[in-house]
Amino acid sequence: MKKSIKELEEELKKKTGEDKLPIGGLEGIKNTFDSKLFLKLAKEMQRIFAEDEHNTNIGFKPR
Amino acid sequence: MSIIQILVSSLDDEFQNLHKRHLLIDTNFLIDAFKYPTQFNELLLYFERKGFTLVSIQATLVEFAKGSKSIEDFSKKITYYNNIINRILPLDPQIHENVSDIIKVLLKKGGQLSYTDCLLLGTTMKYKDSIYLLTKDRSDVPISIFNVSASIMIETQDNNCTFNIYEYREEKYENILKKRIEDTNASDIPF
Repeated sequence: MKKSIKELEEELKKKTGEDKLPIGGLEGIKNTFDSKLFLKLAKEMQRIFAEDEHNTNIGFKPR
Repeated sequence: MSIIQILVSSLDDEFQNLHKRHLLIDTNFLIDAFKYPTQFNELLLYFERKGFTLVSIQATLVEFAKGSKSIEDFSKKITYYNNIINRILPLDPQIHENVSDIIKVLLKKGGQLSYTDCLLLGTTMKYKDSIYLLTKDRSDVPISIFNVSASIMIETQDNNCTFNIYEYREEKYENILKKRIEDTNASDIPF
């Protein structure tokens, strides 16, 4: 059965982890910072952003 | 004493008068955090100890995640973002109205603001009783409306950088708003 665009978009969101993004109001928030995961991912981020020669991410420049 | 100890020990003085417990995070924080992971790991653990939660808006995720070379890299950025940001606040009509109001009262001073900046300022206005804006020290955050409540000095291997914690001051906004209306009445704009 052919999947709809919406179904395909939802499938991709599951693959990227966007379906787990904590969207909502201010109520009941807990700080869930994972130090070990952060240090591991920070190295990955350095590699990912360094490899992207055409990165125009605004965060790299003064706005 | 190491750099990191200097950083964290000096924070208690800066933070003692901060009573709100939500920090609205800008994209530049997410980027500097992975550039200087040792320092920011200490800082993020400090926030956790002090009971702060880190929130943001979808626009910072877009700025952070765009330009990825593969879905795998994109997913890693999402995981990284998700580990730091505890909640993504949805945009609503009130925030958009705040943005519209703020660019009117700022006029020329708002010229350098990006749309993400505007949304962050509008969100800080909406949640004025609960949220501080945390962003890199920049000349374009309008201190005519937002006070610097605390500064975080971070010494890195490359240079020093300062992040400021801004608080929306409604009375300042009200004063500028009144002035704009008075100016408009005086200039008698023809239409």
